[in-house]
Amino acid sequence: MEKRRYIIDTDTASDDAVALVMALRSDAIHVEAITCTAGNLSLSKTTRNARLSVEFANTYSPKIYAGADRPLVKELVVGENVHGKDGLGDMNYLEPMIALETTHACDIILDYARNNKDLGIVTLGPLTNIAMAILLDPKAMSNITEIIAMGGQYKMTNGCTANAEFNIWVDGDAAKIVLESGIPITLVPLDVCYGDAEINIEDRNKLKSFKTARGNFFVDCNRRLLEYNQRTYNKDIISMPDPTAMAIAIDPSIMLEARDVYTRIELYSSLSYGQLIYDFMNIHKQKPNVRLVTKIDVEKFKNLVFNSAL
Amino acid sequence: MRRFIIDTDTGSDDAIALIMALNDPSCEVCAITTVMGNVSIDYATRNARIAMEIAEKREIPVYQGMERPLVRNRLNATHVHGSDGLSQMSVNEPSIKIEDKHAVEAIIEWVDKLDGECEIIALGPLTNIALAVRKAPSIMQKVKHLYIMGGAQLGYPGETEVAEFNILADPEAAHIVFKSKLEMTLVPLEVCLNGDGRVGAETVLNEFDVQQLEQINTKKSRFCIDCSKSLVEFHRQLMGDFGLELPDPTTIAVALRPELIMHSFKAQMDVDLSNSLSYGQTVVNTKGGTAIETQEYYANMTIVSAIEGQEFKNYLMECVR
Repeated sequence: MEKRRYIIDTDTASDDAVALVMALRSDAIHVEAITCTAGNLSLSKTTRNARLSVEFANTYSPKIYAGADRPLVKELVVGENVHGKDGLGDMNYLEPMIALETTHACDIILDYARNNKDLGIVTLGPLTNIAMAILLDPKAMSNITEIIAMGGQYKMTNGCTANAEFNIWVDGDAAKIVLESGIPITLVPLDVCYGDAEINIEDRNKLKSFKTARGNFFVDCNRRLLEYNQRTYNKDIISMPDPTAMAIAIDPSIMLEARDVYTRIELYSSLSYGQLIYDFMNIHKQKPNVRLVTKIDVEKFKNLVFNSAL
Repeated sequence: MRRFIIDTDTGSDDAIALIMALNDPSCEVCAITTVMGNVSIDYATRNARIAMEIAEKREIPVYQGMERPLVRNRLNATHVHGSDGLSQMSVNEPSIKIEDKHAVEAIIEWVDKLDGECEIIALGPLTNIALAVRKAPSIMQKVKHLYIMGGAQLGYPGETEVAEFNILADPEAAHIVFKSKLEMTLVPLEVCLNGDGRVGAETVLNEFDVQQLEQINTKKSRFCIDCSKSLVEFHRQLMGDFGLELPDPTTIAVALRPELIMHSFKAQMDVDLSNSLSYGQTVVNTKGGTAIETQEYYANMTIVSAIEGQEFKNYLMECVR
């Protein structure tokens, strides 16, 4: 069976790193390129971490590109309080050997979009690169078959602000451009990434028991995230939103329930900037622009994480 | 004996709520104040008096209040409750007199007079309460407790994708009240409504419940059914099934039968005042979130999140018997 092909756009911190390793070790998909954006961390750190993740995956090396170093309109706010200073648990990993390409992420995304009609994009961070590509050449971007995006929340509160999730909130303006682009969007909200899908102590022990570089990497690079969850929420878990989104790209059957819904974004409220506004009641009678994932197969998801660590 | 002011934009479910409170021997309703909302102020005052006459409680003073929201333009919900707010049912015009005093003045006076014993149940937009809070802030601190029907948690669509009617009808007033530091309990939409995109509220009457109500066959029970025809039709068109949603009676139950509350939590609730998609949204902040760790947090209210549905229905039936 031919592998489905994706570009992965990432603000690589600890959970992005796990997602990248999962993608590169999958038989179902082929990663054409990895494009980096600022978000969880500054651009120089996300490009470093993406390259390190490819080395940990130890399969093949898609080219890695640097993109936007800040959101379109807002100032950059990073998540070092969550993922650690270097974004990979401050483990002092050796610096990566893989080179960083010199082409801008937007240009390579557009290059692929112009020349392919069967390519999807998985986004693990703020949508700045994708929005810029859409602005520069919307026609080319209409060739993109789907965007699977980790972002947003629909019932859960207090992810990042009360009603907004980090990836969307960091660059809400970019999210608006993507939402209005007409490209089919599958949105993986925080609601399905938390709860049962979180990596608990048993899961971590299992990953460690493999005694593989990747099993250790999955746990260790998320060390700061674990500490953050313990400190802030008194919860002994690693929450891994990006691997959840990636898992749906790798195995769509992990998505158990979804709702097609017309979705807009709040950009003009100080209280609610970056909140996604879902028209569940079809008040506006508009065509849905988002497939919102509302339930996942947690067991399948976790098995995919485990198998990627073997 | 607990003593209450009920502030109401009397549409059909407000009318039922009034009948319940007026027939509950465990409390004394000292005053009824009206506000525009579901219907114009004139209809709200008319309908409140009709409900009092149905309940055969004619002695309680009725004060007419604000005919417009503080800042925004006026909304109404006649598409939900009918043009008169009572499904255009055939009913005698009320003869109970309306007090001369403005509702805002009356609220301040009653709160002062009852001196720490006065509780308020607000069933409509918070315009009257907000003005009372601004006009007499220290007297209003004597309010023992304020019960509010309004708002919603994230993910419960109402009048817009994110805003519930009572709050949306006067968000600026809600903001004033939410910041007032009064003791407050909020009964949000999700414990009162059900349907697509909403969690099924146990308080919504189904066909069997309404049959039971019919069998009671008193003036009060017949009134409850007849005045709700528009509301039931509205629900049927929107959801395609039968459901009589009773937000205001649910709020009465929360105030007068607190043992029916199955779950509630304290949180900071803010109102979105931006001239944008989220105008009128109530934002629940339970503290935490990666970007707001450092922000000031004050849990300003108790938010009810689940009610004992069958017990609520029993209470309603008992009140209209």
